[in-house]
Amino acid sequence: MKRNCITRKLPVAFVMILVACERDFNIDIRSAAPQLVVEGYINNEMQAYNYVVLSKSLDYYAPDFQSAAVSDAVVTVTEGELKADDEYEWNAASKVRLMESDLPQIPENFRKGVYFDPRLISDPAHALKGVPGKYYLLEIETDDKKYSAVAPLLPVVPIDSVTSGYYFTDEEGKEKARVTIHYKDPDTLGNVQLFYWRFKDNRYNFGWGSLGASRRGNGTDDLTNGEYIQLTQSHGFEIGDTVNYYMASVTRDVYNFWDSFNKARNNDGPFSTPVTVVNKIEGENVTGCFSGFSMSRRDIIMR
Amino acid sequence: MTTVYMRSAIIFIFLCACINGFAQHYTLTIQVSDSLNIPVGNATLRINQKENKVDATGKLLLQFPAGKCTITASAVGYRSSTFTILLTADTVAHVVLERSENLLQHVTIVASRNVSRNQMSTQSIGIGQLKKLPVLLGEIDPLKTITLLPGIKSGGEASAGIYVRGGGPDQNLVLLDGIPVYNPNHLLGFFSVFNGEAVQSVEVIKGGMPAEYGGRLSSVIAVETREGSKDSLKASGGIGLISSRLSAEGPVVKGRSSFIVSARRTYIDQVGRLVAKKRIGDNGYYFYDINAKLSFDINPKNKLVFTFYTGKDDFSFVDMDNDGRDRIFNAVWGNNIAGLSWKQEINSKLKQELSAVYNGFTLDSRFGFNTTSILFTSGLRDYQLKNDWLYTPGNKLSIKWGLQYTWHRFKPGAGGVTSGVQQFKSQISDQYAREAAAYISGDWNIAPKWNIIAGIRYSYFNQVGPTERVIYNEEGVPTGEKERFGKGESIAKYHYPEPRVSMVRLLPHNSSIKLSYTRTIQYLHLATTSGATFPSDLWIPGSKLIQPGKAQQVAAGYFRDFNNSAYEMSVETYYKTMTNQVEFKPGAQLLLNQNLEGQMIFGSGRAYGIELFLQKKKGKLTGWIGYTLSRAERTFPELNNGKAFPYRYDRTHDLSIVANYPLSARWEISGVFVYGTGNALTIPVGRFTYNLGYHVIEQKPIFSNINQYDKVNDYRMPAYHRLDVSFVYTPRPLSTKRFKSSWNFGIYNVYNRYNPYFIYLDVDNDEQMIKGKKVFLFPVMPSVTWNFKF
Repeated sequence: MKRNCITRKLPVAFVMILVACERDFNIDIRSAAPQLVVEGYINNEMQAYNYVVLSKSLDYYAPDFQSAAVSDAVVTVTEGELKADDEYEWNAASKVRLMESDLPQIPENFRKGVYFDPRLISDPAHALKGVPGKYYLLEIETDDKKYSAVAPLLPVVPIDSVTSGYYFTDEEGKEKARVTIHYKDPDTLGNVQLFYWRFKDNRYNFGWGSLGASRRGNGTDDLTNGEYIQLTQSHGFEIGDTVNYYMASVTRDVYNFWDSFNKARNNDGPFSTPVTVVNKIEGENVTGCFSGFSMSRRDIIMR
Repeated sequence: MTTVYMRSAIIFIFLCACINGFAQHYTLTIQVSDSLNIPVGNATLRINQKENKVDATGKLLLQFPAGKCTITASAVGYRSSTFTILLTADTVAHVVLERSENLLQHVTIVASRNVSRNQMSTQSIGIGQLKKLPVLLGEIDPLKTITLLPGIKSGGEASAGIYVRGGGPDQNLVLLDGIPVYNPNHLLGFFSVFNGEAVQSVEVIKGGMPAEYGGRLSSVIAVETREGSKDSLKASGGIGLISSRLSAEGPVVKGRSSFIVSARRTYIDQVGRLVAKKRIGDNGYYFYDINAKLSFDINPKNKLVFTFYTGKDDFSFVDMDNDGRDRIFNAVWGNNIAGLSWKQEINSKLKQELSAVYNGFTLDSRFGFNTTSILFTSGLRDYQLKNDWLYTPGNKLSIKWGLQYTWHRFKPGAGGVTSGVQQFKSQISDQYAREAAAYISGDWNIAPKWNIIAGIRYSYFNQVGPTERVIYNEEGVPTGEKERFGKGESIAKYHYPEPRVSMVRLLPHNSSIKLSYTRTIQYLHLATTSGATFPSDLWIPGSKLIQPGKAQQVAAGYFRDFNNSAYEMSVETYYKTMTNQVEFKPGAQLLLNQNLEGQMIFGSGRAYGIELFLQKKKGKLTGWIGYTLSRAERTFPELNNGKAFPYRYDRTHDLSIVANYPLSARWEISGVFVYGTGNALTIPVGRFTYNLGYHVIEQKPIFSNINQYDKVNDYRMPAYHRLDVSFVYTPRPLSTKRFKSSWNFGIYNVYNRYNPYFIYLDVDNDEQMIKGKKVFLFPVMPSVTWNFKF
């Protein structure tokens, strides 16, 4: 969606079609000190999706493909409020220690470095759950170093409805339709939403990375403040499929992180300038974000 | 009393002698033109061993004592001519130079740098030479060719970005007959907008910039188009593999006025479809451009010249082969330029030129993807008035002065996105600015072997309304407030003096040393997210936040001719500093962003180096060797932890060897070899996975790989080198028939070097493989062009 795609990548693609050739090439890369990577979430809708993943970055040519898990860290989440004087007041009684757990949804070989509220297994009804309007403090202690981040949960922006339309037939001959989401953007400027969906192909998967995701063209309400929004995502769903549609209201900080993540993930081509993911975690040699998602949900059977 | 009378008599006799001495000086006016009576504006006249440049109309006016004057007239692309006149009265001499290409002899590949001219860091190339040098796909390109000169670097293949002494591509004042050209490239810089059929010469000033030039920090690239024949109707053209060109010229009123119209059109898409129909599909690209020039001699002292250029690029890309996710992209962009000049010789000592110029650039692009469509437009328009004066009271001093005024209108990039029925429309108001400058410069022969040119330019820039601007807070969130400015209301104002000094000291053995100091100010910035230039890049004015760029450069050089001027060499060294350099933040969001200024970062730059140039101008074998050892770096507080880092186009070593040799009357061979240190790149030092999920059934993780970066531009691409060869075959060199033709056979990249266009790391999560890849554009590429004229 960014302008690069329009005016840079496509002309480049045309040039490549015309004349470009490609060869393997040895790129000699020096290594850097491993960096702690924090992937933390707090939301008000899915308790199992409130988790923190800790890992360390790798040398570029390291044989492992997944980052090295960071085990045995002390990870806590505390609920609190922002006072009138812009100071946080944390409720010590609400502090929850997240642990590496044998959550069945996670494949056995990949459970290290993933921290959950242990009550998800022992007492799911009382497991950690975000409350819109509250603030959450993430604290991490590992290798004698401390890290922290604060995530507010904004008031939920309700979805009025979701409808299906914009039909097409894919190359396998399946009839598909797209979802349009209808909601009213709050009158205050600076509101940002991210969108997720669960459908046939990912219904039994687990984790934010396994959900379908998309972001609006411009991502913010800078141009549509207070308007009634009817946004059609480009993803197609099979007719008859049930789609759970989630809209997450996030702070500008969280949006900026995920915006940089998307740019960094698609960062290639001859004219791209390297994009570093914006770090939202306090501490030394660390990157990542503690994302607060205020979710609203609507389900639809595609017709 | 006797003593008093004696003294008076001696003084009287002395005064008489002096007056008599002065009275023996005569005015010598020399007019240089070619065989078609077209003035040769780049000619050099060596009169009694002292070199002088003619003005743009091919004229030179000097005073000499009575006696013999030996004059050698030479110009790039012409055969030199030597003659002697006996000066016994005011004299007008008309020198006719023959084009070297008409002589069917070897071409003297000459850059008009010489020992005595007080204009260092300047080189020019004529069309005769441009036509002989090997070029990609046989397409003559003045901008590509000048990158063979020391200190001038190309961004690489498929990039017309030109980097002069560490400056950026927006820091070159590219002029077409004195009119600024904002986007001098066709698609991705494969070609420049300058049609070889219309071009007369190209001159580059890298340092010691004369006071009449301004508005850019690094260089002046002046492309002059040729005037049409005043005698008879003529046509010329060429048919190449990817484009054809045609030019017609002739008199409007015989002997007094002329026209020339040149047009060029590519058929790269059609050729592509013939070669690889399946790969090209419905994609298409073409460009055309038309140059025209009309010159009219009102009388011997007044002349009108009208210059016109229009060009358009049309690019479309269609991708319909994946899961209903159609992508359709179309972009149309181009320049429109028109200028009218009145050149007047008020008397033998005073001349003036008054010009009115229009310059416009527009881009319209559309992108469709499934239910999303995006529109993006941008552009700018300039209206300019310019008045230049030249006063030459005698041989020792000449003074130039002038005024320039430009009205800018910027369309900074309006965009709209439609997603289903939802519309997002950015509302960036047009912006306006006034730019003006006054200059005065004196060229003074302070002693027989000393010349100094000292000048000052005072420039002024004022961004004005009407416009309105959305106010953003520090986090980049709009506050809901707008700042409005009425028509003509001042928004930001800047003005700076720009001193320019250069001097030359002639030394024994046909040698000299030259020094120069230049301060330049640039009020417009090119906003780009990459090192290459794209039509979508935005020219934006200085504003409250965006300060003008400033540069200072000192240069010193040693120049020498030897072997009876068969060889010319120079060594130049320079040091340049630049402030208020502008970049977008990495990952800046540009589309639909009404706060582009908030996406910018500001820094400084530094460049220094030494340039060596050795040229053989006479004999069968002609050519040059240019070598540059240099360093260019940038410093931005937000990048590289605030430490200086190499500029992307920092090129430690840059070598070019150009040679030309006539094999026979029919065959001539030319070769070009280039070598340059690879571009500086930022590459990752590590990676991590993020956005984890899990396939519960397949028992495997889902994740994205993200690169981890450290130092900026810390990696070097492999060195770039290439050899090109071309042969010009003239079937009937001695034919006296009107119709003449020649064939140009070229081989680009003779030894098939895979010079990387870019490199990347290919991470395959499924196969768990990481491989380095390099993409290269042009393997060995033959070309053939048939040129004709009648």
